[in-house]
Amino acid sequence: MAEPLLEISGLTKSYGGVTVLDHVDLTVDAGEVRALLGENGAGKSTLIKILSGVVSRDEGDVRLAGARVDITNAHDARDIGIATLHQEVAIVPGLSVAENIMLGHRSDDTVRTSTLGVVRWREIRRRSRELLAELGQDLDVDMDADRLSPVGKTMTAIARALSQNARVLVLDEPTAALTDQETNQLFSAMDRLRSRGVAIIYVSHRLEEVVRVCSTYTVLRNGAKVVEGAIADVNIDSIITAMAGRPVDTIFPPRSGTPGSVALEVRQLSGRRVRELDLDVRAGEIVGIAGLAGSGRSEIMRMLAGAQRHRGGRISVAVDGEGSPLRASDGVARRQRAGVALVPQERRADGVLPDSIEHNINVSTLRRHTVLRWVTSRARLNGHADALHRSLDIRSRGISQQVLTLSGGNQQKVVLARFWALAPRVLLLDEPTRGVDVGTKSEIYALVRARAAEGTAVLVVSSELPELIGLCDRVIVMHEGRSVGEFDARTTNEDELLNACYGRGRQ
Amino acid sequence: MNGTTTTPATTTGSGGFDMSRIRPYLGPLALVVMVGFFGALYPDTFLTKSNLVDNILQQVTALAIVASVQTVVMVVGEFDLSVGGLAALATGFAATILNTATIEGVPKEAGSLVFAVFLCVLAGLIGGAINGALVSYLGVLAFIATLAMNEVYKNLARYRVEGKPVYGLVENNFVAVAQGRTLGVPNTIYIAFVIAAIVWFVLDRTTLGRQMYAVGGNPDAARYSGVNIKLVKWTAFAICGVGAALGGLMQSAYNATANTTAPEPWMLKSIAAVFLGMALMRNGRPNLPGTILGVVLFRTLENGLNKTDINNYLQDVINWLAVVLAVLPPAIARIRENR
Repeated sequence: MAEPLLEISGLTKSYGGVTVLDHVDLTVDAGEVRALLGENGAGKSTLIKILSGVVSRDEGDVRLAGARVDITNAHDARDIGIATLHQEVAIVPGLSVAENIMLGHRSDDTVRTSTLGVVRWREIRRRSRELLAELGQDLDVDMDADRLSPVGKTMTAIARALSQNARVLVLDEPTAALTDQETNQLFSAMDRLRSRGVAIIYVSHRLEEVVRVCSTYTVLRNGAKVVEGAIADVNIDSIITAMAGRPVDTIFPPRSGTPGSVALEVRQLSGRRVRELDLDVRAGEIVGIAGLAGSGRSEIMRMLAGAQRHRGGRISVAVDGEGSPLRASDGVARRQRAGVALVPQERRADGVLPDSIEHNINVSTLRRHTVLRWVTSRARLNGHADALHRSLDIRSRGISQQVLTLSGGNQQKVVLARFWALAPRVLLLDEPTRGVDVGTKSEIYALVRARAAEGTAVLVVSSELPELIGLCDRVIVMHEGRSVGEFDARTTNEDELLNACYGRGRQ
Repeated sequence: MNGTTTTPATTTGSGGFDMSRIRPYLGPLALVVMVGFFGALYPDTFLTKSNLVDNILQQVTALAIVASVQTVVMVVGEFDLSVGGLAALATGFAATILNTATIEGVPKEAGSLVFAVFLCVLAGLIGGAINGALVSYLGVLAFIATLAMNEVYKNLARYRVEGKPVYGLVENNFVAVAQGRTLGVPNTIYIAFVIAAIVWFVLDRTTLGRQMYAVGGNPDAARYSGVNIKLVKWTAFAICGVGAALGGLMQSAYNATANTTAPEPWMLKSIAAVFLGMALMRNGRPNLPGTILGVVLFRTLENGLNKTDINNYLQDVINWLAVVLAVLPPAIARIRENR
């Protein structure tokens, strides 16, 4: 049997006594796409960081085409042909696509990028076009790379990897920012790479995609490899069971109770990317919003929450059955007082504060835990944070622990706790489980359902259709700023929703 | 190449060395070592009450006030380069009310002290509010906004006093309070302590302080949590303006002279003090105890070096190299954390 292109054996890494990778073996052949799977904290990111030279290993070997390689820093990784694309693709804004592709390229036999230090622009443009063509892309290479679509940026980054003769490509959640259509583009580019003999390690929480695009898989749990094999031999349920270490019989909580009176009433709402939207959400009901990225789904949430102005229409929140209209000029704080709370989409960017769990949980409700109106009461702050910490089952050493040292799933719970504290009548969740492991996802679904059962009207935006179908009572589909259909979550399916997302209506 | 010499195959974890646990003790330890070192070298001139209290602590009281309010601005993630200009402006105006002779030298009746202090605080508040409005509501970068306004405030002050120091501020107990002592300790130390304590209280024990840390930590997250980030930032700058004015006023009372050039070093020194405090305490966030420690540390080194035969310019070289040295370990630790 031929030697695998990339062979990792006995890879071990620990931080301050905590073993995050424990003698992990992994191989990838040329032309193979191997899924690297596991819950948050399973060791995937550490493995990737070691391959890309960001983190140093404690023990173990990395072999490339049979030869042992030392990866001490990012330059080494590039030189031996391992390229890593992170979820947020590294693009240099202000430089053209061509410059971004040829960034860090050294003159070699095939391409001379400069003559005596003077840049050969024509050569750079020609070569970038060539590389993009290999990926089936036809981008304007003179365009500012920052103006590219998310998939354009991904393609630019892949082309850069190719220009550096990458033989192993590590893709870390590459589809997180992509629409389904863009995801298809990426997958066909990956097919071209496979036929060129590039080995790909594919990391994603989206198991439907993994099944579509990968040929083999490796599951890590608590830093150790638990199972590997061919994708053809498994199904999603068994992968989830392997990742979680226990059978996940019910990821989604049972639907409960009958919805009450209308809590949120939206009429003819218009604004950036949203046109004439009508929407009712009843107390105790969970309504999902589906749609491609850019369809206006997140904008609805932001307008309802007061984070973005709406130009027309009416939003009212019912208090004891009596609807009271909200003013268009309201900011986030006013809307929160009116009973509307939004858990924002990007946890890192818009969610966590680089501070303790207690600080994070209490930031939205500081006024409640004061003496003399302005002076905070430590005991009350701690008591409040403790209670939420317990009821959301946040796994940590205590409320004084720094949030950034928690796993992604627990960080998300901390952010949820902050908005739970507001006890909103209308709860808006934008991608509530992005980058969260399966076990925690299931816990979050249960928490959301429990919230609804207490009489909160819940609106959920998600790009994962199974999540909307499993969690919600009704799903509304947005297409180019308009609501194009409403579906009963109990009877609809992914195909139906997907068609509606593309504006093809009911079948 | 970045010159790192890590050998991956043999590197073990970071062992039992936990930077965050020993960090709170580093600053006091450095202070003790420094006092011990200079005390051993110069027991007669360094280790005396008059040197430690009057030459070290008293000398930094005004800077301590300014650095305290600089901390507030840095907590919200900005900085204020105009503290010197604000202090000059506020004291320039106050002094021309309190002086017993006009700028031209014609004797005059000194004005009301209460009115002078009120005017000084008002000038600081308005100046700080303008800075805050520029940065927070109009979106100008703090660097250029406060740098330019520093020149504006400073030259308005010079215009007011015609570029000369204002002498003769001895009426109305103005100077007597600042130069006086209570229980053998200069009054300025009490004043600085009280102002620092108020700032600490605001940052640590009020909803405003919590919101300031939230804004400085992650403005977008703070906004989605219902914090009015513009108002919070604006307030920080306004507080900074008032504090800078009070610092300047106290300094000119102590010197019995309002000099528009005296507050100039405060811009750099106050920011350096906050950075020292960030390096020494509380996970690298700006914090009041750290800032005060930074101010005292810097002054102690300065004073100790003053006793040596080292060339004056080289003394400053050492002082500022020490600042760089102090902020290095946390910076390196941050890089290490990710390896």
